[in-house]
Amino acid sequence: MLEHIALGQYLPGSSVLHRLDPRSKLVGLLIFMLFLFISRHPLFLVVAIGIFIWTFSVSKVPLIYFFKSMRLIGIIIFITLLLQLFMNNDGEVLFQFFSVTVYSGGLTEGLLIGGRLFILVGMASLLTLTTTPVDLTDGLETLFSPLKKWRFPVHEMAFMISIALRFFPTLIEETARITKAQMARGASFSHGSPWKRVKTIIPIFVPLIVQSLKRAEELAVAMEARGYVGGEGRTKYRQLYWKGLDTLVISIITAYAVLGVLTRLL
Amino acid sequence: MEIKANDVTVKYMVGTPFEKVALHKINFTLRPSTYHVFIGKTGSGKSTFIQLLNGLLKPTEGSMLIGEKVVNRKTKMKQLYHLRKEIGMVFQFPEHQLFHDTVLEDVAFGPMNLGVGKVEAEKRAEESLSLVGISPSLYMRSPYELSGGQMRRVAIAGVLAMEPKVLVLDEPTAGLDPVGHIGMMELFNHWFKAKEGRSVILVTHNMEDAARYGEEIHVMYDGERKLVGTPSELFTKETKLNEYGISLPNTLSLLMELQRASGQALITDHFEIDDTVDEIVSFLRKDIENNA
Ligand SMILES: Nc1ncnc2c1ncn2[C@@H]1O[C@H](COP(=O)(O)OP(=O)(O)OP(=O)(O)O)[C@@H](O)[C@H]1O
Ligand SMILES: [Mg+2]
Repeated sequence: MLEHIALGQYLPGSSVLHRLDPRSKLVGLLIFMLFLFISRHPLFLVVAIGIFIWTFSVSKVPLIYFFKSMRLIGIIIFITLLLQLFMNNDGEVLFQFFSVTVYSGGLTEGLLIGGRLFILVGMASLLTLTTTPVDLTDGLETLFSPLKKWRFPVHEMAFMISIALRFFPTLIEETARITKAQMARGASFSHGSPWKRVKTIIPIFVPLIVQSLKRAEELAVAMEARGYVGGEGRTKYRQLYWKGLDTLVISIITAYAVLGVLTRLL
Repeated sequence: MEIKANDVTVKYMVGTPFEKVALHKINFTLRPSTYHVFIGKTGSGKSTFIQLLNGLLKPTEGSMLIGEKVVNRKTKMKQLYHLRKEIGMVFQFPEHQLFHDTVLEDVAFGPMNLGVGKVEAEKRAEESLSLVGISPSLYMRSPYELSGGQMRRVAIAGVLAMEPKVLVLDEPTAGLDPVGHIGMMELFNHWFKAKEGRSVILVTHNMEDAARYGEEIHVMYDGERKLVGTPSELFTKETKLNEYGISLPNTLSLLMELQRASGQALITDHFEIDDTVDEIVSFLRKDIENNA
């Protein structure tokens, strides 16, 4: 049962999107999201949809995976659409269905809000589908590093996240191992009342916590023994490389943002 | 208790790109009341095989016969429950399974799971704790306050307290010091001899242990059982064993080297250090006589 858990939703691949620097992906996504709601000009919306479709096709992510990652948010978008259809009474009456009247304003609003939400979450999904968790953390660390001026522990936070990511599979393996050992001692996870079943978690939980604490301590000692000191002046083994492609992506997104502002003002 | 594998195949992560055949159509019977040893290089399927014995793992294809009980892919977990009573299993680093407040309670956990009453379970716990050499002064301590070696003994007592007929041991002495290692191996042997009808199934990378305690040695390689025999039958097949990534016990490889270097035939079907010394002494005597 535990063998099928994947961390995050990263899909290995070598598409253009996979090869982009995580920083340009993150900044690009941020700008895209911020400006998405700025203008409702048809030209701007077409451009936004175009960018979304282009990103998706260039990512080479299979459609199934994409929709799987959108399942939950899909429901929310659908509900938004319904609410708009039933509650909004701007514009002309489109049709009446028993006591429900649907107005044209409701339809356009619903589609606008729902569609933009879909694109927004879709873009974020594409980012996590094509970026390893480690790259994401690295990217976030560099982007947030200006905060260090105000003593925000950026490096430590990023380091914590990457350690957590690193040890997640170990934890899963360990859970499977301890579960087996307790089952061999006659512990049963399918017998008895709900209360009894909750109690069967203790023989797994306690050793797991103890092991994790021990491992954390060993890791800390090992790091200190090798002279680890926090963030200031530390270089990285894994370097991020900003390429021409990254500049191009940021330029396109900037153009999109400018278009958004212009169509809003005009 | 007889254990039989009929065309058993075990695959991990079926239906994913990572699918892995860990056991490939194995077919054999483990004699009852015998000390079995499984050897084989890493990844050969030893741990996978022993997990079949008490239903922690079910065959992907084929079936196991464990005593009277048939286990195949369709067998329900609930039906496997009572196998745990008959087959005691000690995993690598068993001390990682301790969780109760006190040593005594932890050891009694197994028997109580089998439906034994609290009083009886604690009586059994005390018996097996004294068997593994944990003194009564430690019974009320937290298992986490013990040394690593003591913790392991407590964990093993927890399995013995379930009074299994078959004791399955997966590298039980990993990480112990040499004296602790011998003590532990002697403990298992003592348990094995103490009562008629008991079996041990030991997985080990230690050839000295395999030679000393094993009555039947099984060689696993690439998901199959390739060789089986008594120590003296098996360790005379040096070339075959090398092919399967297995070395000889040190006592034996010393004699083999001596035999090769001197060109004289030596008796090489005993593995105890005393036998090796005797053989070398008699070799030296002959050598001196020949020179004189
Ligand atoms: N939970 C698992 N998921 C996927 N593959 C596994 C799993 N457990 C074992 N395997 C694979 O099955 C094969 C047999 O593993 P097994 O643990 O039985 O080997 P072993 O003989 O016990 O090795 P070792 O001497 O290292 O303990 C190995 O190739 C291993 O990678
Ligand atoms: Mg193993």
